[in-house]
This record gives sequence, structure tokens and C-alpha cells, in this order.
Amino acid sequence: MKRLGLYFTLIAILALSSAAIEKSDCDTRALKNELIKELRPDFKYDSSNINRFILENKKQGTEIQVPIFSSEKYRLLFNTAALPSDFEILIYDKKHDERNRKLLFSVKGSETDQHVFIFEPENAKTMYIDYILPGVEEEGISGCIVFLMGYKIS
Amino acid sequence: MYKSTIKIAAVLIASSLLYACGGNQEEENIITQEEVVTEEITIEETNELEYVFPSPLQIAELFKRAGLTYIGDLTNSIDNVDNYNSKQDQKLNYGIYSADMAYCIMNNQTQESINYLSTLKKLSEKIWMTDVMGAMGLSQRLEANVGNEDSLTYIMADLQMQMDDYLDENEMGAAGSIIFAGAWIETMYLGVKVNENEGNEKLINRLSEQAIILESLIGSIKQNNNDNQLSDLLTDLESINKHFTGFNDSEEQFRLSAEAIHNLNNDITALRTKIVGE
Repeated sequence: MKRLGLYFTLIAILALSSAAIEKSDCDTRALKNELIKELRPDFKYDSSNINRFILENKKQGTEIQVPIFSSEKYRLLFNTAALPSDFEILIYDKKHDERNRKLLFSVKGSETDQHVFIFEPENAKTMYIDYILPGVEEEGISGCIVFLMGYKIS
Repeated sequence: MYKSTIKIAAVLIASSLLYACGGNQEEENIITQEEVVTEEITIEETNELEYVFPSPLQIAELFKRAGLTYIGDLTNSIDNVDNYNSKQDQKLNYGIYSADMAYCIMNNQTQESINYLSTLKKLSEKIWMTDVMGAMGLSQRLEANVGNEDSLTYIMADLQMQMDDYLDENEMGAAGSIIFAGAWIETMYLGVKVNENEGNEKLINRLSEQAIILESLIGSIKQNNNDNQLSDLLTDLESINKHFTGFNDSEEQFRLSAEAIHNLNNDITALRTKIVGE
């Protein structure tokens, strides 16, 4: 009976582990495909970027520089489904070390239950996307944010 | 979420719950720029900069809309493909041929596009990107859509996505920058040469706004120049960037002067010749 209980516990842990791995695994093609649907029918795929994170006990961040042409239409999409932590996505018109930069878009994971976010800039040139992840107690868990951009030439 | 005395179990359970909850979220959050309140936030934790480049197709499409006509003998000959022996030459010329393929697609040169596709396949195998085009049936899709420019551009966009996936999954981001450099140089070459023949004001405007891409490209090449193998390319790109002086200071739409266009033409042609080896 004891052995049966042990097996049951092991199976339960394995099942939970699989769920956790599936969550933290970054299936970029599946995540991208979810975003691709949001491009159609007006926008064509242009480029994408995957940011993989290993959660730490301190705050961490990354900045992505995205040059665009101000006269054209763009749709920026983010998929945070494979990110097992809180996050912030911020888009600015200047680099993080420049003064008076203007915030164009922001979203906080703690304030929404969604995982797909869409932003359509207007008359922007180069944009700077900042991902900010807070420190967590449990370090070492991995995750990712998928960014994908589409364009529409007028 | 992760605060628990039974830490491992808590993480596993929390992750499972998170996963389960995520499955039903179908709503999106579309926000336009006007809806966002302007505010200043200082981020001190950002410690690295990554670069995302537009697809060669987008630049070719912009140039085409501005009047980039098709001149057949401008593109790099597919016969040159066997001349590229170093990995750097292969990556740069992969970009060159990608831009040529986009140029042909934009101008309904389907047979030429298929020829460039075969050349890209050959080069991709040399730079270990063996699976990029294998499963896509691109030749058949190109042939089935002869004359349909819109469908052809979507096929090209699929190819770009496939390549981006491959580069990401194989951690070849540095290669992506070099490939893009080749594609950008070739598209600029096609632009300045067509402009030289026809003198097109809209095309000059499009060439002028490429300053925004060149700045990012230089930043990315610098970042990937740890072994100094890209120093020559970097020097050439920085030299080209001098023609765009004033782009960042310009309140109005920046436009290259006639002299700057002339000099840009010379420098782009020289760099492109160095890369393709003609």
C-alpha cells in the first residue's frame, strides 16, 4: 500500500513537472503562429524576435531596437504565454540611456490576464522595446517573449 | 506565486495552473498610440540592446512602389555562387541573392525568382541552413502563382519567417545580421542604379530614409564583431553612413542631396562589387 502511494506521488509529480516544462518551454513556432493570425488579412510578416529568459532573484531587462519607416503602417505583436512570471513591455521613441524619451505603449502582466498584445505605432521612426522582468524567489525557471512585426504598404 | 515552504511543488502547481488558465485567453489588446498616456520611466535594469531588421521584401516593396523598375542585368549572376568560399562571403551573398529574388518577385520575373531560389538553397547548405527551404515547396508555389505579385510576395514573406525561425532555433542571430547586411547593400545598389538611369524623386526619398536602417545595421555589426572579422564591412558601412549626415537633426523629411546621391551610388557600388566579386 505504501509502495502504491509512492508510485501515485511520483506519477503526480511527473505530471506536474510535464505541465511546468510545457509552460516554460518556448515553442516559438506555435507562439508565432498565434501572432501570425493577428496579422491577417491586412499585414504581411516582416520580422520577429525571441527573447528567452531565465528568471532571477533580481530585476532584469532587455531592449530591442526596431527601425521602421514613418510613412508606413506597422503592427507589433507580443506573445507572453510562455513567460511564467510577471513582466512589463514598454515601447519608447528613444534608447533607455537618452533623456526625455516618450513612452508610446506599455503593458504590465500583473494588470491583465491576456497574453497577446498588439500595438500599431503612428508616425514613429526607430522604436525601442523594453522587456522588464521583476526578481522572483524561485530562480532558474525559463520562459520567453515572442515579438513579431507585420507591415502594410499604403 | 512562488512563495511556499514546499517550493518545488508550489512552482509546479502554479505553473500548471498558469498553463491551464492561459489556454482560454483569446482576447487581444489592441492599443494605438493616441490611447497611451505619455510618461517618463527610467529603466536602469536594461543591460543589452538587440536589433530587429525589416525584411528585404519590405524594402524592395517600398522601392517598387516608389518606381523601382526592373533592369535584368543589375542582379548578381547565379553563376557566381560557387566563388564564395568563406562563411562570411557566403552569408553576405545569401543576403545579396535574397534581395535579388525579392526584386525579381516584385517584378513578376518568376523564372528568375526560381533560379535565385535554387541558388539560395545551394548557399544555405554551405552555411549549414540545410532545412530552411527544404520543406516549403517554394519552387512549386512560385510556379503556381506566376503573374500574381501579391501571392508571390506572401510566399517570399513565408520564406523570411522560415529563415527567422531557423536562425533563432539555431542561435544564429549574428549570421542574420550579416545576411541582412548583404540584402540591404544589394537593395540599395538596385535603388541607386535604377535612379541613375531614370532619375526618380520618389525613389530618392526612399533611399534617403534608409539612414534609419543603416544606423541599426552598423550597431548590430559592431556587436557581432568580436573577432574583428567584420571590421572591413563595418568601415565600409560607416563610410556610407556619412552620406546620411543630418538625418537625425532633420525636423522635416530628410532628403539626400544630388551630390550625396552621387557619392552614395559610388560607395554602394564599390562595396557591392567587393562582396559579389565582379
